[in-house]
Amino acid sequence: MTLTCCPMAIDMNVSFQRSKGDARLGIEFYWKFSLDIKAGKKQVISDQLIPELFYDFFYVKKGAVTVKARGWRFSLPQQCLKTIFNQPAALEYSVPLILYGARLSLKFAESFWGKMKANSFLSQAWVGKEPRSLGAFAKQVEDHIRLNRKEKSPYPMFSRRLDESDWLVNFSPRHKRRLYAAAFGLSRKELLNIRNVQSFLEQTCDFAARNPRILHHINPGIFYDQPHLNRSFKKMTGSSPLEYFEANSLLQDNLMSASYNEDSRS
Amino acid sequence: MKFKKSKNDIVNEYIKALDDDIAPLFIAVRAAVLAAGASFNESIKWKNCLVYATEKNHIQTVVGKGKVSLIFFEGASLKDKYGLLEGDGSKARTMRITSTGFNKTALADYVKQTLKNSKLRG
Repeated sequence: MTLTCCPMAIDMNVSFQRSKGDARLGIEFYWKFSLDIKAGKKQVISDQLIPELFYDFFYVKKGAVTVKARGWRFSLPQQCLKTIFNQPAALEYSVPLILYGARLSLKFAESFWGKMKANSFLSQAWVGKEPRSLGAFAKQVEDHIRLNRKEKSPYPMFSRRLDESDWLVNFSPRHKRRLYAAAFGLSRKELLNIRNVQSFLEQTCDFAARNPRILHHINPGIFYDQPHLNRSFKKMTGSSPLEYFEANSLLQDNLMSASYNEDSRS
Repeated sequence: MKFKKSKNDIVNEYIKALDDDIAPLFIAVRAAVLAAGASFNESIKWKNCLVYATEKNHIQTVVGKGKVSLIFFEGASLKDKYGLLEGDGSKARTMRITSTGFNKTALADYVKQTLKNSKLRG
């Protein structure tokens, strides 16, 4: 029987490992996420995902993951590719859980061989033999991507800051929308909205310092005022900034901090 | 610097990357928090804050110039018999630590109260 436990009384064991990916293939890094309950009973842990400008390949080695998004509820296939979401998704982990994953950039999307669709978990078969370590998982994923990648355009469509590349300048707006939708599953405007919310989250937000105001963390070049931030934030994450900072998101927070710190090193 | 390795790779990388002038203090504070709250999971959030959490975030560590601040998200509900918690907001309280000779008993008390309160609320 699967039990849903009361939220505050859980004694969890969480571990997150990371290894470097190959930027030329659009692989930011590989990760392994393990979650267990110290009491040893099988239970369900809730988690949440918020929109990010990354794709994630998931491999469920042990346990199970259930996704709740857009009124749908489904069990995650053992291997799947999470495309870019522009709305929150809730996850439920059946523990003990061992997840392997690869974080993939927009560059990967431009060479993805299948049809890209936003807000989806696309079933995949990238890993043949059950991996025993993160290194073995990484090797199989890298080989699969290297073998199957197919460039959709001659040059990258965006810079790292999502500025449009020069080679697109002569295309009509409609054609560009078609190109973006085919490559990323979303329009550039939707990608920019995600980047704006993430640019707020990337800051070190010390809300309990002497003057704890979210207002001081708003970049006026991106958000006109705090209600503007709140509206965008709530639409994308399902909660207000303060609610989000107080909640603990197990997988998402680790992926985000790994991605941000990867960015700042490069 | 020697420190107890975390199960989270990102936390280990973060501690290794700390400046030499703040690292000893940060490591001492972390050791004290983990000694009192062994059930905490650590992770780095919002780019560079170490957060101690169970299923909810409880304590956030912010590194400043020559000091480490511990933000207790539910600090207003703690009994502050040592008078070291700052802030007058409705929820959070901050403990600022500037030297390795900080009051470890007080910190342990705050951490234990935090865990106890979270279990009661659960």
